[in-house]
Amino acid sequence: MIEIVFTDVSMAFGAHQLWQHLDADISGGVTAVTGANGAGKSTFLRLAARMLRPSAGEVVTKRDGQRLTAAEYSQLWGLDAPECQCYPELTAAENVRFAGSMRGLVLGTGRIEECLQRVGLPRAAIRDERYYVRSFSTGMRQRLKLALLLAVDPAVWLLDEPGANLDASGRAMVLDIARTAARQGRIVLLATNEAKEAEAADELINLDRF
Amino acid sequence: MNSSIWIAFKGMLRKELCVGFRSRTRWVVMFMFAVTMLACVSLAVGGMGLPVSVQAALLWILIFFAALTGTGQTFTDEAQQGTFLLLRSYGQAQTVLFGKMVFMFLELLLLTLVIVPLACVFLNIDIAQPLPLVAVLLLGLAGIAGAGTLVAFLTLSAKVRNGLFFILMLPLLLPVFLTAIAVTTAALEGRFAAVSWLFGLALYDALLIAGSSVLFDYVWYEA
Repeated sequence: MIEIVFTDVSMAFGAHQLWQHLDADISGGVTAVTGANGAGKSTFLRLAARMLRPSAGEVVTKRDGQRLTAAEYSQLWGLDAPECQCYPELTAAENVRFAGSMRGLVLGTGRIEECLQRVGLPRAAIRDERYYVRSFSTGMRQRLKLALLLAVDPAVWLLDEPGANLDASGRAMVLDIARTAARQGRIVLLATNEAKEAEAADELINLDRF
Repeated sequence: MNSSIWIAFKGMLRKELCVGFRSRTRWVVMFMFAVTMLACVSLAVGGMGLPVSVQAALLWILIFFAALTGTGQTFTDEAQQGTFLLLRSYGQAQTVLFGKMVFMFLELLLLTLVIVPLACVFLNIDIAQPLPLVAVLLLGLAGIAGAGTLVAFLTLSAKVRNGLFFILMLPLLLPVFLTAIAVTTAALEGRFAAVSWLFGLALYDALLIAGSSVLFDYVWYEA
């Protein structure tokens, strides 16, 4: 079992203090991370990915009670964030295959197409070998990032506003995928401004309170 | 080799090749830089018969600077496109390093295959001993790729990225540069350079690549 433990964590960028004395123990289910714009939701996710170090306190990741090194943990999480882009010179399938290979997975065409269909990409974007991501709409790119996570299926899903740029059915699909992953024992951290998404979560961390 | 690392390395290299062949922007910059510089030198020299040591030095200056215009961009391009976070999210340090390093080596090899024949024409270079020249070119390019990948990553978040990249690369590659010029001079003159020069260069390359590998793990995960 994977655990992410925040102990007395404070975070500041220069003189700008985001939060202080935050404690959290995340070990499963969907955890919504909410807060006003600039509250530090994306920062919280990066701390959970151990891409950043806190200004004070400690973020520890464990597997079955044993602390993980940053290198070990790096193979266990996947991130979908607005500033994270898929390769525009590759097709959707090539992007999924690449993400899988980075985790040592050889994904077959069937599995790749299944993931791309699950996120609702149109048939041409899935099958056409000359339909590169640079021609995708913003919403399609957003869906593709989720397909990467589906294909890799990491133990920790870090979703930073995954519903942004998606229509209502797209947002429902994101929630459904997040809940399914959580049911399968994954940790899902969902940074969101959407009340509906926050309500659907098992746990809530409101950064405005710290 | 662990099979998952091998799969990841192949995936990384395939991605680099696909992106490189389909975008080609970096290649255009490198090739245009090399051709422009070659034309300038050729015009400046104006048909003068240059000493062989100067020809060898000019050839390596051309390769070195043309290579640096491209190699410095390997992580910058990813950061500018927003794909760096994707790479950081899914990639393992060593596979990213070696995938990019091998691709950079292939890219530089392609560049050299264009530069050397052109330099022979424009600078009236006669190659008396091709085999030592090929060996020193391969070893020299391996050194540039080995150091270039690490330094490109180290300078990624620097504000004066380009300047810093050149400043850091120059001392790292000076031993490669000086050895390569000495061996190339010998190859152009028709003398066999001491094999120890080539062994020394291979050893230095190995140290550069091993050092890059050790440091890259730290900067990728911990920095």
